[in-house]
Amino acid sequence: MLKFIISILFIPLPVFIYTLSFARWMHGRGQRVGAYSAGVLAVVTAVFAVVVLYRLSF
Amino acid sequence: MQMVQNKARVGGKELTAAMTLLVASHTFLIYPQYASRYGLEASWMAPIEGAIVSLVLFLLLDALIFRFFPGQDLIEIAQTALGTFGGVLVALLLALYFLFVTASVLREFVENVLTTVLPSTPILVATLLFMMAVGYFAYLGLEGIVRTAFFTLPILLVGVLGLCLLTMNWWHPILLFPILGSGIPALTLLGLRTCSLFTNVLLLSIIYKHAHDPHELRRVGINSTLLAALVLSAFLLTYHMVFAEQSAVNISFPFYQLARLIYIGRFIQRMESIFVFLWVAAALIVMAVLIWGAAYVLSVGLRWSTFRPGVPALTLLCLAVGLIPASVTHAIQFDYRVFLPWGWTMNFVFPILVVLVARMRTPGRAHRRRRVA
Repeated sequence: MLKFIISILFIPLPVFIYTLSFARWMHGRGQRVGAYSAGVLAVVTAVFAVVVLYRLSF
Repeated sequence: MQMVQNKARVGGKELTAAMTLLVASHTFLIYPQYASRYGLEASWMAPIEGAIVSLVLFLLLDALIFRFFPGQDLIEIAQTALGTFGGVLVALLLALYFLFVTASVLREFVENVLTTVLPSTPILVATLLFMMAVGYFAYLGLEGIVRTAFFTLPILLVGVLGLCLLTMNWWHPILLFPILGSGIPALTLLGLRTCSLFTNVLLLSIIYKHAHDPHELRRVGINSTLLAALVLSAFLLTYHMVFAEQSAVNISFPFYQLARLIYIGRFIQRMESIFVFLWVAAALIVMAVLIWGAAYVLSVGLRWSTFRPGVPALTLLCLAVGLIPASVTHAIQFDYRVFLPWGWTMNFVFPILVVLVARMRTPGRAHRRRRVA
């Protein structure tokens, strides 16, 4: 379990935060399509990464 | 910032090198085994046949783009003719295709490395370290990737041709007979399936605008297709002169196996470690250019200000998708059942279809643009 949590903290979480901040930045500039798509990309990537890390950890 | 990142300018020679590497890198992957299985002794003809068909389709695509939509890439053509929604749809399809191809290359490459040179390393560690390098490389942009490819291509060519020549003492030309291998119908089908390797055509229709002279698209496409076909064909020819057909279809890593055979004397033998370097360099460039391609099409289609912030997420997504198959057998099945039999539809049919549909929907605008050009 510890391995799984540490791997999540070091791999998908920083990427998720980075992509989400990109989405927020685009939203701030009025680019709604870009902002939503970047947000969706961040969520999809995080979900896939967590599932794969879970499979590899247990 | 946006101008610098999205309007990269690269030379035709650099672009040719990157596109050649994109196709020729299949020498290291599962393609030689696949070709051997379906083409038997004549599998070396398949890349030539595939290249000829690819060139015909590429020239058709090139003519359509320059006649009806000069100066526009595939996403812009879709946006012009099909509106924002069409552009988004085309961008998503292309990005997904690039991601799946990258994930497939990644998994095959990592399995090759783990099985041959790093047997004790966990797959996640090897994949993660490799993808960090790929992500950084893609983040640098097209200019960095294609210029590195320009330096790497001669090394790869010398390496592959050197490998072919250094195994000369194992050559048995008699193993190439019967010359037509599995027969003309099977060979024709294999040649058509080999078109799936020529992803350079699809990528070129997206990035040709970045060349110093966009009219170089035709020359870049022809040169990269022919050079890559030559490399693939030379390797397969050597492979089948060294291994009999029964052995050739069962070898998992043909390139590595051939490199292990080198024995020119006591001091020139077992040179596979040198070829592993080539392997890594080629895989790095190929995956970087594909991830850059995915990020670029998303940035154009979804109107992102810049492609760069999308690169880490796409790299991680690629890593996750690459690790989904439970074993190397499942990973190879993707190539055997999906990529090689159907990849040509995305490489050729899809872009030609997009341009033709766009032409039908916007005859007036296209004519006006042509007159202006």
